[in-house]
Amino acid sequence: MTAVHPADWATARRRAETLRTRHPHAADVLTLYLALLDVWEESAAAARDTRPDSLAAWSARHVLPRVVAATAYGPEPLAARAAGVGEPALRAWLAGDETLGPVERYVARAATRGPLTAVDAGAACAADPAPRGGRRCPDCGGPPQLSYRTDAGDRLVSGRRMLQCARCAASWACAAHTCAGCGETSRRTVYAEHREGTAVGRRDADGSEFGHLRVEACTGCSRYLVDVDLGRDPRAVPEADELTALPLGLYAGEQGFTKLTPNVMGL
Amino acid sequence: MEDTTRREFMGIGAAATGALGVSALGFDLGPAHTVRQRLRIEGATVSRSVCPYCAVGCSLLAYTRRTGRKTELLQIEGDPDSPVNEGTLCPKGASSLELAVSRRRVPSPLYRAPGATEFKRVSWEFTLDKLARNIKASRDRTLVTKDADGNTVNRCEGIAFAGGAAFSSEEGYLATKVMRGLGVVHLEQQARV
Amino acid sequence: MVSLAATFGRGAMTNHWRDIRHADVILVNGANPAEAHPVGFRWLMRAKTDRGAKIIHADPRFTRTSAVADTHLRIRTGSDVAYFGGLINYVLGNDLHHREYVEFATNAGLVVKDSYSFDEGLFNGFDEATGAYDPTAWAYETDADGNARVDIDHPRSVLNLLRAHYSRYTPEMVERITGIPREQFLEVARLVGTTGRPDKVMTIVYAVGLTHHTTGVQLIRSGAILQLLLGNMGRPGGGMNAERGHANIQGNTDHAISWDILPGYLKVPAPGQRNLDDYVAQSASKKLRPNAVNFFGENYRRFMVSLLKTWYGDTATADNEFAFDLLPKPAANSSWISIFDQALRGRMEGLILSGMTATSIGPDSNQVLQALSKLKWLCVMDPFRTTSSEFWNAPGMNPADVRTEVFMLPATHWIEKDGSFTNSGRWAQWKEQVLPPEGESRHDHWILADLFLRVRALYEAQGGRFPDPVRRLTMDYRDPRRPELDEIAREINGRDLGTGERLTTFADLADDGTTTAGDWIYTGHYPPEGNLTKRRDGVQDPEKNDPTGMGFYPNWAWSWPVNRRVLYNRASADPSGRPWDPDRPGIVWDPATRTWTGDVPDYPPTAAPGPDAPLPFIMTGEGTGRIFSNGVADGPFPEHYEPVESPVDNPLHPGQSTTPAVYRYDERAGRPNRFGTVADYPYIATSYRLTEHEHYVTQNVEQLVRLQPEAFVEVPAELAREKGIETGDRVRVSSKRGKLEVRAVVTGRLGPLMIDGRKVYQIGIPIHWGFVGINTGQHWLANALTPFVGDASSRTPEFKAFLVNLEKM
Repeated sequence: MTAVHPADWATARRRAETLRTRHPHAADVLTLYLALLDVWEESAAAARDTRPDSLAAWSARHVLPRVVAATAYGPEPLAARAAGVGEPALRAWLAGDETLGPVERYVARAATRGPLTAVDAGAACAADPAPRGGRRCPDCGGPPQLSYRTDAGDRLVSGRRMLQCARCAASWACAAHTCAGCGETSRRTVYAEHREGTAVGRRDADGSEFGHLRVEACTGCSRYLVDVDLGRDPRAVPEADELTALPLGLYAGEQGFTKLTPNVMGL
Repeated sequence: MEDTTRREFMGIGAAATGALGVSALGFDLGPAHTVRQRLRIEGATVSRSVCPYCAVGCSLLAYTRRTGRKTELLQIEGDPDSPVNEGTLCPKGASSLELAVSRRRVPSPLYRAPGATEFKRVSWEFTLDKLARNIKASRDRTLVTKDADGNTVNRCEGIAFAGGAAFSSEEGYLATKVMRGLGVVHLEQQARV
Repeated sequence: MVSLAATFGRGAMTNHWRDIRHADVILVNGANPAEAHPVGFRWLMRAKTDRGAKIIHADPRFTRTSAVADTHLRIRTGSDVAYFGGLINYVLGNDLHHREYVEFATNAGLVVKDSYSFDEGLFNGFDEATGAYDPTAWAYETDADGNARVDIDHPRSVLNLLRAHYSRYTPEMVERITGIPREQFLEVARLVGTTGRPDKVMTIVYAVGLTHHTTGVQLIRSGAILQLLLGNMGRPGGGMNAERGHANIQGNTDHAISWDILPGYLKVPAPGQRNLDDYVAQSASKKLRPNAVNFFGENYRRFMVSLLKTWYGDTATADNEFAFDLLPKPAANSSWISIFDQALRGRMEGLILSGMTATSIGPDSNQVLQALSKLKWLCVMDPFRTTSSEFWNAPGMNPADVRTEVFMLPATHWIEKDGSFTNSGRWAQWKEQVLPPEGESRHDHWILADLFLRVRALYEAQGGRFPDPVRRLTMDYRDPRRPELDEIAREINGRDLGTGERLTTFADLADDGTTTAGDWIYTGHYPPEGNLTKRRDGVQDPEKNDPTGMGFYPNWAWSWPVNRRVLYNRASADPSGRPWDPDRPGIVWDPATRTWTGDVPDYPPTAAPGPDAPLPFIMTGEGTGRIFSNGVADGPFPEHYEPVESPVDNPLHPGQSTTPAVYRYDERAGRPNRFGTVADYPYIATSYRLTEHEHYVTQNVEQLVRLQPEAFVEVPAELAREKGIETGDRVRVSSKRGKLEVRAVVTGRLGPLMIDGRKVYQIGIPIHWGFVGINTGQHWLANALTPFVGDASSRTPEFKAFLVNLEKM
């Protein structure tokens, strides 16, 4: 299983800007995301040059202050609370600790997201006892943030189903019919915007607001995650587009599903 | 699964969307709620099927929507995991959806009496009862228990069964079994034709 | 099915779709996979693009397959024995065969009895009175223990007889018979000859363009012999790959919806067999070499007893031969054409058609219409009306005169029920029920179970002729009128009656009545841990799911037998257990673990290589592939015979132009002759599918009907010029049996050909139209033209070569 690092920061930035115009409901989230993208890009480059021994310590010293600064673009109280978070939270996040509060988790994720794409994520998260591979990241053992389908370039060809890691953003292939949470292969439901008529093969985004997004829910474990179909919108950047899916997520919540992994914005 | 329950904390996203319309990190959820109210979202069930046409055996994913007692087929696509078709469909396989939802289906059992100029709609009970009587009568008339050489053969010469290229294998097996059970020897399917 | 079983022991595609990408040379005969199997064709293209494989398409028509092939050979329809025979002659004449493989894995070295003869088109063993051969006349010299004599240098060794037999198939003779120019033929022969090297592999891909002939079985066998000579059987990228045309023909052949077999290719019992001993003695292959495994033959009784226990339960005991007498024993061939022949003779009362429309399929649709009108009753189970459910109202029929009672039963679609489909490559793949049954439609198996139980109830209430088989058949399902396919799958798998556990392999089946198996070749598909046809470990993770990298994907679905992906794979390795080509291993002997690794071995899994090792083909009595075979009705070696309707006499032996073993139904029944001659019907016609349609059912699919709305015939441009026909003109195409009046499409795709010095035209007839469907105006039935005759062994109808006339209207 080969992990893919889609760390094309400029593409993500352009996409987030487009999405911010298109989706006012996600403007706040995307504004903060754009600020963090700058931090991630620079910290990834720095980490690549430095090759830090302890990613948590290095990130706490070099990246965390910049995250706090960028968070000024986020909701009012968050920036102030973020300033109080320190290295232990980063260490805990890399070790898969389950007890972090929402602000600690936000800061820990935002501060490690950039460097993790540039270093050996497996080594950086060696303290995490989670299994590698299967439904967890083959590199670092992190949980899937989202699902996406690759673009096969042909309406009659369905692309591969990939999962993307919530921690190091690596991607890996996963069976199309399998719940990313519990591995269940039946009783799966997808929720998407209503469309008229029936379709054969992969359908174009057809101008609808969320044509390439859907919620993949499992009635076995009551979890869901958001799926981004690049076959329907090849310009999508899964991580950025996922941030706009909150209305679908709210709907899934009403149906009794819980998100498998909240995104960096805690949503 | 064990590793996900251990990590229950990962699932606090929905809980974090507080009742006040502000998320745990302070994002205003009002606009997203407004969009959600406006959106028409619906669920589809994903099932796995296999194309009904040629014998390549392409795997399909089928999406259906249930409204009341009605189930609608929304979409069929190739299954990207299949080593046979790797997500690909041909135009004919793609059109299998139209076959599945065709409005040209026969609505009920139909019966045409000898010499009649049209079918009439009949009930399943009528159909199966009459057919069963026909089968028994034909079997009784054409069953050969011993042939001219005195061999025990127990064959029914006057009934034939043909079909099954689109049967599931298990259906085909049952067809073979009950036909042989009736003594039928004229048994055929699409392999030859 | 017949020809592959006669040659290798099992009647199925030997490799699988994905495997075709391993080939260096691909011969496509009697098939148009680019249009008929488009997604499967990707694997041929992968071979071409990834490893530079050469595709040779021999076909009467230039199709989309020809367009991407490296060479298109325009071959006269039905003359493929001459083509393959010519290749066999070229390979042997130039010493290009894979000598070590041939000695190891074929019966080339066995010595044939001196009663063998072949003279002017006639083999020994022919009985003029019955018009049939006695295949037991084609036998080996044996010692007192019944072991065949082995001496490859003997003048009557199979190899030497083969050499002599095909020495007549010179490039000149190939050209005279097939129409392929000798230079073009020789170019292909040189390429084919290279695949006799251990590091080269060729595959042969074929479809009904080979089977739909009076010589269909031998057409395929001639290709199979070529593959054995070149050492291409059992190897990844090799094999004889029959492309089945419908989703589950393979599965329902395996489960024996076929007059001549019981599930798992057990022969149907014949009159005169009084007990299981008789049955096994006459049905099972005999061991002909001391170290032949002869797996099927040796275990025949276990498989049959387990089947009888499955079907007759407690009624089947050792004391009553496990109810052997309850199985019907047919008097004679009872295949497709025979059904209508019997009806025409007034001996058939009722016919149940499920998803098959006799009227459209034919052959000789007009005669089939007459046959249907002689039935007392006809039951059609189908989601749509068909040309059979409406036959009494067909153009030219007067409903008032048709006394047949007709039942049209709405059946469910594939998508409205679960169950498995077995694809061409023997992969059984489970599908889920996606939609509930539409309206009042019911599952076919529920209809059949319900009917059967009603018949049983009538026998219980009224008595009747020999009710035992009807009363005793097991119907042990939770709801016997509505069996679940999952329950049936478990029954097919079988179980140990002592422990009640489902079995994991057919090796555990017993002949004492302690085990069941509804179809032994599927034993192991549903072991105690669950239904393996549901497995889905596919290309989402090739490293994990395809550990050999050869594309076997052992945990994707399940393939028979025992999840083996390439049949006869022992022959993929040399006698010492090393793969002939290390880059494309099938199975490999691992001396450290003393096991065969790779694919599931088609061989005893721990049998070490060596001089006394079991022979490589475990399903035949010889222990090898059969170049010489007594498993077919019309000769131990394939011979070119002309179709029953042909424009020329057979250049090899004009006195025996057609196969002597062909069964002419009308003549035997005393009905008038329905064959035409070249004087009245000067053109060859061949029928085929278009990519937009699937036989007749797609006449109900609007999108496809829009794409190909109207019946037409394809006319060669040169003939069209002679006749003043232009594309779009209406033409009449007629045979001795019927006619079509449709538009012409003038094309360069079809010829002409020079056959034995005579210019011959071939006319192409797409088959899809009839008087039922969205465009009911297009009522012409293509099979009104085709002849009421079939292959000598399988009786598969001759849809692909017959004579017609062509007139501009």
